[in-house]
Amino acid sequence: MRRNRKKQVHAKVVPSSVAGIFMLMIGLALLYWVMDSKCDVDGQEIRKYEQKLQSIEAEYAREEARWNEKNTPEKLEEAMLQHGIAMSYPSADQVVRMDTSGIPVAGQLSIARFKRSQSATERVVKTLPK
Amino acid sequence: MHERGIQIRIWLIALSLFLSFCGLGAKLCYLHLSNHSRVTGREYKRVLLGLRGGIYDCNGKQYPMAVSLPARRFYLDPKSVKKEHSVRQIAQTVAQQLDLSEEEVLAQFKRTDSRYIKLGISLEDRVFAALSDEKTISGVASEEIVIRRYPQGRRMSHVLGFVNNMGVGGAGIEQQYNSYLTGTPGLIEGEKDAGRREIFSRRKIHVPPIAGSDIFLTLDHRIQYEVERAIQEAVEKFDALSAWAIVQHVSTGKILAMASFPDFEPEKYTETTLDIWRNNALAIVYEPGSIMKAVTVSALLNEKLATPATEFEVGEGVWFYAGKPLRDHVYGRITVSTALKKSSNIACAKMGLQLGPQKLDGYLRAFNFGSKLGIELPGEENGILARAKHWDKLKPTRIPIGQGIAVTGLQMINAYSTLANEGRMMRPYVIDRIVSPGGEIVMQSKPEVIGRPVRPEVARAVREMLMGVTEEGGTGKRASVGGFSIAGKTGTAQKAVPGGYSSTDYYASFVGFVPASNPVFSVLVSVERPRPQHTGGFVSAPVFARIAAATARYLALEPDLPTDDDDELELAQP
Repeated sequence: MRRNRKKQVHAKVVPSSVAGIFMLMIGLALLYWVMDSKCDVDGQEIRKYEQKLQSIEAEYAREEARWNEKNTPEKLEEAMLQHGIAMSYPSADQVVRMDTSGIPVAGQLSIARFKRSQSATERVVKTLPK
Repeated sequence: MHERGIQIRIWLIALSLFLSFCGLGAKLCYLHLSNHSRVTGREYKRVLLGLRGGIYDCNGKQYPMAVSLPARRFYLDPKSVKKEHSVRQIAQTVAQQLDLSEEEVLAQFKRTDSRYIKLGISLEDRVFAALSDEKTISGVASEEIVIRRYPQGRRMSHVLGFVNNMGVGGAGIEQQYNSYLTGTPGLIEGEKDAGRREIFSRRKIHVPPIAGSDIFLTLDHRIQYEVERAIQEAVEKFDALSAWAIVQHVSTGKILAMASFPDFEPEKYTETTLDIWRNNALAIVYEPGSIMKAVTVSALLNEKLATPATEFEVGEGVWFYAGKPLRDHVYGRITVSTALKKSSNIACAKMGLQLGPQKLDGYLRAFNFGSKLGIELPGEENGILARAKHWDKLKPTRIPIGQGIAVTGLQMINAYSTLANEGRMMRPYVIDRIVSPGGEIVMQSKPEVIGRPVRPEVARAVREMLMGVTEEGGTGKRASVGGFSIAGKTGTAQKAVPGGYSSTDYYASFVGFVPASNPVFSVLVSVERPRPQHTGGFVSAPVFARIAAATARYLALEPDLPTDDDDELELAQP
């Protein structure tokens, strides 16, 4: 029987060290590209949030300004007039004055109770320190 | 041989691939490490606006008087309108969003002289979104700006001032404290992509902006509102040229309100003239008239030349001195107390003679007439007070009754506050504190005694005499406030004109403090050229009463006078 004498050449096309270096370089390049893309995406997100924060801060400032414009004494008086609310300060005998600990000045409370029984409306005003 | 050829070819391919990768790697390094953005036009630079600090009243951030808001200014570049976009459509959208006339906007599109045509300003993000829609809008761009808003409109306009279109304060606190209020802009530098958006990962510099410091005033917007309303109504009622009023806290010198009418809107300051911007309360000098008499009397008492019971002869109502007549509406022998109550010219003129020019001049300067008080507002005047050595023979009789001397409203109220404060003169101030954006107090005002022109017992004695002015028989009865004792003085002074005095134009004033028994605040009201009534007692005293009543109630002061109902209260005692 004739033996198969065809030579089978087992030769290295590229040395394994060179192939390894190639693979490493390609791997590093791919890794760099992935990280760079992720940085760009994160950067865009950060920019978006920065702009959103700026926009929210601006809107907050504007809203506060709008509220302050509604809160002027003229606007409050207009609103009270519109809703038929008439406010006035109480007269001296309708006021119960208390000291800083919240205790009514002696005699005032009983007088006020008496006046209340006479149909006057009692209102309490806290004495402010000078 | 054949195998060797194959190997050589494989090596060549590998080498070329290797060299390609090296080339790509080198380019990558160059792109990332070199500063090429300027060359390629990819440089990105953005200035971040630093907001101007706010101004608040004494109640803190609850009531801002001036704030800065980020906004956008929209402008038109007619040459960059794209062909596929309809000009009419763009004009319609712009007009709608910026509340302009469509015809006016269309007219701007036809202009060829400029590529930066201002359209308008908007605070709203939705307007920016609508005018940035690249599908339908072109030729319209915007820039970030900061605008100054005054939420309470005209309130405190003379104290606050305004900011001009360069963002620099032009009057009032805005001007005087511009360096504190001005913010510091920030900066972002980096690169942009093809869509002109910043590439965050390429950001090189990021300096955040710093807002300006906030200023907290001593003024109370609620008291200010009452004061402004009162003087405006007085000007309208008496067809006056102007009026001003000040409310001052006696023991500290704090100004609680300072108003001048006519006033203006700080956001529209260009629509008014320079004379309207002027704060009359400290920039107008005028002869005070009879309100000066309290100063004369306090000087006399301090020198122990008289007591409240000392009598002066005022005669039949006219007195000649140095060849000039001086008229009076009080007759006979009257006490110092009565002279003040009834505002006797002759008695006070004689008091001036008794004091003598040097002493009188000395006391006037001790009360700070003739020089600034140093309030933190621009435009304060010195007033006019010549040195005693330059006085003629008549001056010692005229200055005591408020003629021949010119003062500011601020000097006058400060003098009365001194009398109310046991003779201690406090420096008037409008700023309580300045706070940096980080919360650090940069400046804190404290009450400061700047003089003691009279002794405490003299101040108390004058205070008691001034209470008579608002009682029956006094010239200032219309200044009385229910439940509160008032000490004050009326003044009616002819307006100085070239060559003498006007016979038709007057300054009508009332100045006083509340409650007289233990003063908390003082009020001055002056009205320029009221008519037909022109006296302080008729014109200014009621305005004083209105302001004093509102302020006393707002500050929750305890009434120190019995009311009519108190008789019933005594009966009600258990």
